[in-house]
Amino acid sequence: MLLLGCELAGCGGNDGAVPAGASANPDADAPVESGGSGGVEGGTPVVDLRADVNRDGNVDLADPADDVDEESWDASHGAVFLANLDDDENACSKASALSDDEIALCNDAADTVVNGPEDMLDLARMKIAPWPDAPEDASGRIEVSSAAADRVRVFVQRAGVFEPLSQNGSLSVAEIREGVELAIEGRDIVRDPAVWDGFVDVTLHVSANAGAVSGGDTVRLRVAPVVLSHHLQPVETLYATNSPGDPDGLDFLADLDAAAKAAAVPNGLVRLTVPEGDQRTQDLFESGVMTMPEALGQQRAIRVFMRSASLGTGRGPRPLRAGSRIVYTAFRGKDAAAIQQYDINHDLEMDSLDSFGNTETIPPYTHGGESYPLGRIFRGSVPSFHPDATMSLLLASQGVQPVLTVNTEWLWVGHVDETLSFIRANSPLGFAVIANDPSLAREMLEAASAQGFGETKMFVGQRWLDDTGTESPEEITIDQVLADTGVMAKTAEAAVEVEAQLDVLRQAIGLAEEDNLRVPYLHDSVYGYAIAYQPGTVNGVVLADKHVAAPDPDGPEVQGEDIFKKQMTDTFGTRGMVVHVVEDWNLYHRLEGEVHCGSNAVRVIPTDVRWWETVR
Amino acid sequence: MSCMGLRGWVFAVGLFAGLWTTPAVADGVLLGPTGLRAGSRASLAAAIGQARKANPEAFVRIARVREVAERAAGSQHGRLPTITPALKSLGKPALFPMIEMMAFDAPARGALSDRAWLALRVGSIEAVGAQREPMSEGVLAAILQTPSTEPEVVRAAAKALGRLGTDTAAATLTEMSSVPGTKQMSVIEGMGTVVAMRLHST
Repeated sequence: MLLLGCELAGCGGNDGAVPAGASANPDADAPVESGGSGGVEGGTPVVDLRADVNRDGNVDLADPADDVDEESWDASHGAVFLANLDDDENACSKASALSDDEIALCNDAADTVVNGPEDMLDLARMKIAPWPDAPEDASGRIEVSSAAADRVRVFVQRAGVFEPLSQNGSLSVAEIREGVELAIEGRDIVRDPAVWDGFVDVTLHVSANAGAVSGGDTVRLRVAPVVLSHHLQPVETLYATNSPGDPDGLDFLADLDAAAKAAAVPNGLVRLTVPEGDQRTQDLFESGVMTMPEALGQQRAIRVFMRSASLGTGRGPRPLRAGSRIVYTAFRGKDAAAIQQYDINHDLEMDSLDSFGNTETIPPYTHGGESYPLGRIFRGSVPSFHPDATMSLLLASQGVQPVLTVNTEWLWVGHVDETLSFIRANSPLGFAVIANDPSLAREMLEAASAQGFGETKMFVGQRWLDDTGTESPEEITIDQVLADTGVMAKTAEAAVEVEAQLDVLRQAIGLAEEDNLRVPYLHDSVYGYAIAYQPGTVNGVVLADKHVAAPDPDGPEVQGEDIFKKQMTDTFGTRGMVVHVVEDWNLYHRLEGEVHCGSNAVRVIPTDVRWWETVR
Repeated sequence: MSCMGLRGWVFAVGLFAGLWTTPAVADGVLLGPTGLRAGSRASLAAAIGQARKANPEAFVRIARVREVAERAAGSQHGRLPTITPALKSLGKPALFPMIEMMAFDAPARGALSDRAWLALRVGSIEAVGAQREPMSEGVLAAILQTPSTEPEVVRAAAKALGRLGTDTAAATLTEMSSVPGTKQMSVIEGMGTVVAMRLHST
């Protein structure tokens, strides 16, 4: 709570209220007596700064739980504040003339005022306890630890209005006597712990009696990390790029819309207008959330929309992929923040990895005595083929979803969503891994051929090259596919590589075979790398516990039944999931993507786990 | 007299001499007129002529492929734009039109972007390689043996040659694999492809 006299006397400890030279009571929760140094003018000194240390959403001067161990922070206690990066009054410009860096600068923390009542709710409160009898010469000031000084802003309530504290943080005698309320906002999230680790120590300094009494009280707070969502959180809003003039787009959106309705996605499918019509909605942004405790056991939440670090084709003031600008133009607003992080010099050969199809989240699990209550960020990355290093550092720096990586260098696109996904399962692990099984695809086709269906066609009705006005049917028989040595060779390689990815999961999460579901599709070779030859049915979007939207495998039909569709629906069905088939051939599959690439989701914020309780 | 400098005169003389001495054989996108051995060139030219008579539409389609490459460059999802699946889907009729484009006659690069140009060349190598047509061996070997060390092109050519799985392809790759340099690893990969093809056929 308070520390008086120690600044002058060097008495150590952090709680106490004593004249200079007297001993502090390290366990004191209330103003302590002044001791026997001849008395203090103004009665018992009170130097008590409080924050929501017990995380009940209130700052309570009468509750010792908001005072004990306030100068430290762990999973059991410690105050939290938000990076106030939303735009509650929708005041930020969306002008296309703004550069990529300029458009990112605007948010509620960018100015020195509280931007309305909604913005006030995003600020974490602190209180200074009154010292009613403080002498006339009493002075006080608020100090912010130097590492955080440029990353937070402290407000003080004066005449009913919160205004920014002056640079020296000074408080008036009246404020010391009557007590005063403070508020703090983060001006940024943690991006590099070597620069700022997200903690801030706020100290109230008070002196009086011409310096005979002086001391301070420090509270430690931590900025909320951005927590990414995982597939066990139901979709709240499903997104896809609108393509009003494209029949293929209309078909895709219609299928996706039907899937969202069937899954009872609360806000349904929202069609986004994206710069340059960029149809790879998944790649443009990743959504997460920052939260802090609120009264009555609630959480104050700011959604976060991360802009992909993927670079566009041009340079100059707008080097980033144009479509990803929607984090500012479509999403930033009330309770919605938008951020970006990129290195303009990152290797363009690896730029595909910065698309957020390569950033997924393993659902929560415990393995080997290690618990990951918020899951783990899951990305394709190896030293020779990795995403933008500054974005990787940002993601790792959030500190609550330790990053796990697998090798995707063998894949042409290189995204982790091409071969692996996660669905809820009633098992000790709590979820199942859906993995591509290239060998199974070959075996299924071989079996069909052996049964006399070698001339049966796959991909019936599908085509390539229609955008030049020339249509080339993609139909091909089972036996022709099996005779394609390129496809078979790349499929064999892919089988080995997927197993290597699964080995990582076996080691990291204790993946058991019963939690490893397989869906088959072959791979082909492009530039020597692998790409799904058949629609990649892993690469769908999990909508809810019982619903997934996945690509239509497009055959072959054997005895009236698409054998790959049946395998897929049966496999998901073992975990009670209904598959909503989406036709994505023209719009995505033939352009190196699938349903997941063409969609994005904002998911329900979990209420059963709070990030601050998960910190190791 | 105009103020053409020495370099300009040298260029003009060279151009004139070239026109005077070289038959009217244009460049392909991967090989120049002297890129193929005479015998191989003659037999392929004959095959191309027959294919054009049999299926002129396929040549029209391949002529349009550069548009596809430019589109792919504008909407790529992977590391580089690719038109390989599109070319593969055209099947057998596209083989000789592609070989013509690669080694005999194709419009100049013109305004095609770097990425589209790469997609066009690598895509055609990969699509020709996928067909495992013995007649393509001379073209693929010649591409691999050009001084160019563009890694994507070298790797595609080595793999395409390896996919033929023939003794002569294996011999070409084996010979090149002992030459240190930037092509060596790609060539060794191509040798691995030969082995895979042999295993596949047994």
